[in-house]
Amino acid sequence: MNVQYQYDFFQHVPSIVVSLLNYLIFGLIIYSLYKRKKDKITLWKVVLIAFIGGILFSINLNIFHSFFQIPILPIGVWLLYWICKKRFGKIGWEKYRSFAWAGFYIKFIFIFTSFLIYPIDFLIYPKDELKTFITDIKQPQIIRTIPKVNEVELENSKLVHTVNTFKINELFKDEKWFARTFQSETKMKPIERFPYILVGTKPKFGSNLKTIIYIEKDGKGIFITTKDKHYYFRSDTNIISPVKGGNNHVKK
Amino acid sequence: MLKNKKTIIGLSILLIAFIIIYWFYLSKPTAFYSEARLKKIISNTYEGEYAKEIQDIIFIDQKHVFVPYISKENGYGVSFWKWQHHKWKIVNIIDKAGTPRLWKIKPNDPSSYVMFWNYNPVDQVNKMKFRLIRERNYMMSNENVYYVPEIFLEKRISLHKKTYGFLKYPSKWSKIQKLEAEAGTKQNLFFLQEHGYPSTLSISMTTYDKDGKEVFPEASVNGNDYMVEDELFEYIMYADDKDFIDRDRNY
Repeated sequence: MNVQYQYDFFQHVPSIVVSLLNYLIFGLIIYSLYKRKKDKITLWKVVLIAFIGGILFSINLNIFHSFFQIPILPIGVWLLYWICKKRFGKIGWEKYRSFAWAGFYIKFIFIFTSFLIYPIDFLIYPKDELKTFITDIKQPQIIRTIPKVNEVELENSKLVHTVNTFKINELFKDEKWFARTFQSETKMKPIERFPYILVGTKPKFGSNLKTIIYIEKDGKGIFITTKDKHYYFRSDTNIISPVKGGNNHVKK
Repeated sequence: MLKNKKTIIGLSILLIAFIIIYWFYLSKPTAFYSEARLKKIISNTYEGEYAKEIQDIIFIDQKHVFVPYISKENGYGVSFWKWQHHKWKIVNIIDKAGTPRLWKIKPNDPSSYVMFWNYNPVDQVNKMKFRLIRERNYMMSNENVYYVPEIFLEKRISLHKKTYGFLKYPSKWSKIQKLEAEAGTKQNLFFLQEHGYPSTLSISMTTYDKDGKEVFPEASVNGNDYMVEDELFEYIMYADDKDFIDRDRNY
C-alpha cells in the first residue's frame, strides 16, 4: 500500500501526500462497494479482506523519475480463496470475492497516483533554486579538502542574504577549466575548483535531499552533488573570508 | 492458587531474562587482565606466537583496549580487546604491525574509527603521515553530467620515541566519510577516471625517520593477522610520497 520511492519515505512530503491519497481512494472504493452489498458482513472484515487482496507479486519499475509497482500475480486473492473455501465453502467465498479482487485492482490505480510524486516534488522543491538545498544554516562549518588553498570561514549573513542571487549554471561551461582538468596530457593540472565542503546546513523541510555541498575557490560558486546528480550555482557575492592567521587551522 | 503459581513463574522468567540481559550486555566492565595473563592469552590464542613483553595497555574507551607487545622473535605486534558478553575478549592479534590497521569500533559511525601501529626500532620510524583521498572524476553521458571534486587530506604525527601508537579519526575525516556514506556517488555510475581509480575515499600512509626522510618499515611489514572479527579491521596501505607529487599544480 505504501508508496515506495527512492526517498526515505517519512522524510519526503510528496511521498507521504500521495500515500494518503492512496488510502483515501482505497477507503472510498471499498466503502462504496460495501454500501452496495446487501449481505451482512462487518466493515472491518471487508477492509481486512481488501487489504489482504492487495498482497501481490509485482514488477517494480523506476522510470520517468518515478517508482511504481505493476501487479502481476494476485497472491493475496489466491490465499483468501483457499482459506474461505476451506472454512465456508464456495458460497462463503462469493461474499468476499469482490472485495478481495478490489484490493488487487486498486493497485493499478496506484500506478497512476505514483506518477504524481515527481511533479509535486518538482513544484515544492525546485532544484534550480539554492534555497531548496540550503534553507537552514545553524552551525555551519567549512572543511578545507585540499591543502593548497587558504583556510576560510563562511560569511553566514552574506549567504543568508544572497541565497537568491545564486543562479543555476552549467558547470562545464568553463571550457578552459574543463580542458585543462580533463583533456590535457601534462601532469600540471589546475588545483581543485571546489576545495571546500560546507557542513551543518539543512535542505528544505520534507525534501529528503541528501547532498554534499562544495564551495568554489573564489567563494562565488556553490556545487552540490546527490547520489546521481549535480547542481552548480553561481553568484557575484563572495560568501567566504580567509581565517586570520593564514593557513593555520584556527577555528575548530 | 493455579493463577498465583502462573504469575510467580511468569515473573521469575521475566526476572531471569532481565538478569541475563543485564549481565551480558549492560554491566560495567571488570578490571582488565594482568600483563602475565595477557601474554598467556596472546600466546595461547595465536598459534606459534609468543608474547615476550607487554609494552602498554591503552584504553581507547571503557570497553575497547589496545595492547602493543613484543614477541620472542622480536616482532612488534599489537592486540585488540573488547568488553563483550561480560568478558574481556581478544578481537585481533597482529604479529608485526607496520601496516597500520583501522579499527571500526562502531562500523556505522566513522567518528569511532581508530588507526593503530607498532614499528620495530630497526626501521627508525619517527614520524608518520596519513592521507584521506578521493580522486576527482567526471562522467558525461547523453543525458547526465556529473563531476566529483577531489579530496586530499593529510594528517602528520610524531611517534614521540614510542614504537607503537594510535590515531583517532580526525573530525574532518569522519564528517567527510559520513557525507560520503549518505550522499556519495552511486557506485554503478560509469566514470571516465582521471587516474584509473574508483571515485571513493581511500586511506594511505607514509613513514619517515627523525630527519623527515621517507623510510620504508622493512622489518615491520608483512605481519600476519589472527582475526576474530575481520569485518571491523582494515589495512592502511603504504604509499610513497612521490606518488602524490604530480598534485603540485598551479592554475
